[in-house]
Formats: sequence, C-alpha cells, structure tokens
Amino acid sequence: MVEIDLNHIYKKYANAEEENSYAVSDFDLHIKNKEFIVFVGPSGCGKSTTLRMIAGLETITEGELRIDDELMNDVVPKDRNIAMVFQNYALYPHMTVFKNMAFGLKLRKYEKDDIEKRVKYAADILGLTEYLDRKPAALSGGQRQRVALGRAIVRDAPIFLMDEPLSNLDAKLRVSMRAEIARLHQRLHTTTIYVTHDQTEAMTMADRIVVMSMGEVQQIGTPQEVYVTPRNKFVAGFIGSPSMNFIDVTYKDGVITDTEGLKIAVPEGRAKVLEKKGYNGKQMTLGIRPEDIHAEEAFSETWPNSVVEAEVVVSELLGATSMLYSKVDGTEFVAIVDARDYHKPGEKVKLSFDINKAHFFDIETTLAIR
Amino acid sequence: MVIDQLLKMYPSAKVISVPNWKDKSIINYRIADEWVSIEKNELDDRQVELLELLSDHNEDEITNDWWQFLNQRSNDIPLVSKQTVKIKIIQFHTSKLESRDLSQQWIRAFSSFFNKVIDTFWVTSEYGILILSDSEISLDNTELISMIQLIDEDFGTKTEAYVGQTWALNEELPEIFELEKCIFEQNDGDAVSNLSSDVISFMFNQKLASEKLFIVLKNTITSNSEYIAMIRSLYLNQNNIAKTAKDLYVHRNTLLYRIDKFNRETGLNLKSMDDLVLCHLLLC
Repeated sequence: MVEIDLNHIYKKYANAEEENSYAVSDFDLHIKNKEFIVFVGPSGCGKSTTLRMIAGLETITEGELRIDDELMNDVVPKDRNIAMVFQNYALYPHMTVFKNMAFGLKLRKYEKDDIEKRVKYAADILGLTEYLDRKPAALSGGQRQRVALGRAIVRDAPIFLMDEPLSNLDAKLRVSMRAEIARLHQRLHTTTIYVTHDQTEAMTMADRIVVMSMGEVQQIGTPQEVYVTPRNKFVAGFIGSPSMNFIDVTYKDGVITDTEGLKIAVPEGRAKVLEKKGYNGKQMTLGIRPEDIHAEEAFSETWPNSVVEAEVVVSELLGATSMLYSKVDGTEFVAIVDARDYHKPGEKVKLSFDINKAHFFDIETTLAIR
Repeated sequence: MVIDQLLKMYPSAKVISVPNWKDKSIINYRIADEWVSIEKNELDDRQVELLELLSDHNEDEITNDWWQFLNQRSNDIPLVSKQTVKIKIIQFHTSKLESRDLSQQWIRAFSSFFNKVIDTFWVTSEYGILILSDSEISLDNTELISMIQLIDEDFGTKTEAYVGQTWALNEELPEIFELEKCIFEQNDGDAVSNLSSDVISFMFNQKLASEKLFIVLKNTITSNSEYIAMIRSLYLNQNNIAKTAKDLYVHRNTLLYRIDKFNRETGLNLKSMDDLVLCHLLLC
C-alpha cells in the first residue's frame, strides 16, 4: 500500500534566467495505491524533471512530496524505496544477466538466498530464465530492456518510476513491450509513474494521464476524459493521432464562419451554450477530430447544414480507413473516413462536420468553452 | 605567517619547491601556496590531523603517480606500455560513499564500461580519475548518461563525468589537464560533458559574460520565457525549423512568427546561425 502526494511542487534551476522562470510550476497531484499514472507532454515540458524530483535525483524548490504521508523532500534517493527504469537501458557489460539484476541487491546487503529467489522470480515473469548466464552483448534490444525492468522488479519496491523506457526501441518492439509493461502492472500492482512524450503510450497504458506543457499541468484525467473533454486547446491538440483540426471561426446566430469561406451551422444545444457564455459575434477556435468529419451520405443527409464541399489535397489509404487531407478554399483539415470513401487528390468531396462532437476554445485563453 | 610558526615549532620543517613523495619519512603539506615538509617522527597522530586540516590537499590526493604528474608535482611520466602514445582522461565527481569498500566497488563498476583502462583512482572521496589508453570511447553521450544513471541507481549517488580529449602522453599534458579540470569545475549539473559541449560557454563566461554589453543583451533576450525555450531548441536542432517546431509542440508557422517577433524586438535574426550562436551563448 503506497500513496504519493505532490503538493504544489515547484522546480527552479539555480541558473534560471528569470525571476519567475520555473521548470515545473505548481504541480499538484494525489496518486492512489496501485495506480498507473502517465506524465505526457512535449520535450522540455517538465515531466522528467518532476519524475526526477520524486526519485530524489533533483531537489524540490518549493512544495511537498509525501509518500504515505511521510515528507520525502530531503530524503536521499536510496532511502526512498523507489525503483527506476530509464530510457537508455545500460547494463554492466562484464556481468551476466543474473549478476546485473542481483548487483543492486548485493550492494544493499540482501542475503544470497533472497537475491537468488528474487532474480529467478523476476526472470520467470519476464521470460528471461534461459538468458540468466548471458552477458548483455549477447542479448537483443528487447531482452536488454527486460533485464532493466527485471532490475526494478527484484527490488520489490512499492513504487516504479519509468522515464521513457520504450523510446529507444523500434516501433514493433515498442508495441509489444507496451503490452508487457501493462501486463506486469496488472500482475504486480506496483504504483507506477511513467513518463512519455508519446500520447499513444499514455492513452493505452494509463489509469490517469497528467498532460504537461511549459512546466505546468494542463489537465489530469482518465484517457477517456482528456480525449473527450480536453480542458484547453493544448490538451486537445496533443492527445489524439492524427491531431485535432483547429480552425479560427466567428460564431454568429447559430452559424460559424471563417475568413476562407467555411460556413457551418451549430446545433441548437451547442449554440445556446456559446451565446450564454457571451460568444455571439465573437471569434473562437473550432476544434474537430479527424474522425468527427464524415464522408458518408447518410450523415450529410441528416445534417445538411454541416456539409462543406472540399477538395482532397492528399489522400492516404490505411486499409480499413482513409485519411483525406482536404481544404475548403484556404482552410485545411484532415478527415479519417471509411476506406470505401477514399478519394484521389484533386477530387471534390462532400464532408460533414459533426459539430455535436466538436470543441470550441476561447481565442485568447485557449480554454474550452463549455 | 603560518609557515614561519611551523618552521619555529618543528626543527625539521623546510619550505621546499617540489615535494619528494618517495621519501616516506617525511610528510608534505601545501600551506599558503607553499610546500612544507616535516619529518614524521616529529609529529604525533593528533598533530598530523591538525596539519592536514591546515593543508590545501589531503594525503589521498598525492599517492598516485598519474595525479602527481598531471598536477606538475612530478616530472616523471608514469610508466605505461610502449604502445601507449596517447591517453584520454575521464574525470568524475560523485556523492560521498559510505565506506571505502563501496568506493572501491563504485570505481570498479564505473571503469567496467571502458576498454583499455590504464589506471583509475580517487583523488578525494568525491572526485576521481580514469586514465584510458589511446582509444576512442565506444560509448556515445547518451550511453554514457545511461551508464551513470545505472551506477547512481545502484549506489544511490549523483555523478557528473567529464570525458577529456585524446592527448599525446608528453610533458605538455599537465598544462592541458589543468584547463580540462577548470572546464569540468564549471559544469552546471550535466551528467556527462566534454570539451565540445562546454568550451564555448566556458570561454564566454571567463572573458565576456560580465561585460555590460552582454548583460544588457541577455536581459533583452530573456525577457520572455518562450524565447529561451525557442533559442535552446533551435540551437539543439541546428536551426532546423521543422524539428524545433515539433520539439516545442507548436505549428511551424507559429515558430516562424515568434522568430520574426524576436527579430523585431531584439534586432537578432535566429534564422542566421551567427545570431543564434550569440543568443545561445548568452543563455549559457
């Protein structure tokens, strides 16, 4: 049983240029026992710095880190009982897989029998039993990463911190290791914090996602929450692949238009919210996911006022679906449609915007209008 | 003044230009930029300890032949095989380990990642040296960082390492090492650094950073935190707009707009490599 509290954590480096230039600002999160939390965001957003503060590898400038209610700010890394898995999985080159997994325990003066039991257990979980006598040079990339995971498992630490552990693997291996880590979590139930810049990893592995940008938490929620109800334009654009389309529009009396000729009706319910919030006659950003733009005739017949005639610029047939990079005059967007609705570049196509699933963002604050 | 008092207190005490480390009957102390030797039989344990406190170095520092040579305390080039004509020096700094045994295990673990290790030793309890024979390190920077992460995870340490250049093993080496030492001392927390990564900021901070012109310019370019991230990312991506936009998670056009805005506000054009390098230096 372990719970982690990050109470209004700030990180400022000694050489920071500005008075208020923080690498991490006001990070506030309660992590429940056995939870799998993913920190996601672009490079330099502060996700790894936050992880390193939890591990004790970086000092905390302000705020409190508590593990099971015990203040950990000044506790040295080795006394935090946390196991880490890093992006680059270095292993001692002259040690066998067994010795690599056992080394940390040996330094911590574990009994020989206990070490053997733990290493064999971890090797069994990770399918490494037959490789225990091999040296790292004789292992594949995936096997080496498994040994790195094994080093964390043998510690039997209540908290795992993983810093982009899959980013050095090729795409195919990444997918299988992703499943392996998820399976491992289901088996061990270790409270895990996982850092990645890959939103697919975040969506597929997390119980809850923490989306970060410029050192600040943008949104905390389940994968479903951050995908369906993004708090702001950043989250909306970062989560989802391909990214959400953004078009600057003006709303007026139930219709949105842009300067390039786009004109779409807004359903009554959504229009009421916009008007109530004072956006009638004002500019805002329309956000619509590629899968919410349809090419099916049935949809355009049901919502005739949401149809635009677009020209396909680039099209990609992906098997079951097609991606249509299209434009209406100067406004460009991408739609994911059924493979049967594939169109060649240059062709005209009628596309319907499902405005009921669309998002509106304030043009200045970038916050979602709800 | 301290030296005068020592000379009065200990009849065998002498001010010397170069200490004779081979004579085990004397102890050498570095006090007020002078070397003083005192015969061991004139000192009890307590006095030895007190004098060590006064001295600018500790005994561990000086027992290694390489350290004596590299610090110009001896002119003798340490004995190496005839094939060794060039060497590479790796300096490391780590947190203090709890016991001598752990320190030995730490240094063994660290050196196990390198080929052709000639010697490895602690200078102080937190600073040490690895001497490699004429060889290119097979590990790149990322691998070195991950190696340090691994060791730090196992030993609970926080380590920084400086990978020196490959140099000819001759009498010029101590002077070269002196500068490598200074560059490493100015490392601001990078786990792994080297001459290429640190020399420009080192030179800039040594010579120019305190000039008014650069202070004013730095204040101008750091007026907006967006600019700092933009300059750093552009520099890391060698001015590649697409890669920088991806890193910063902004649209390419947004980045171009910010570069133009920066140009209007500061007169510096980040699309030009000269201006970008200048801005990068100001942020060092």
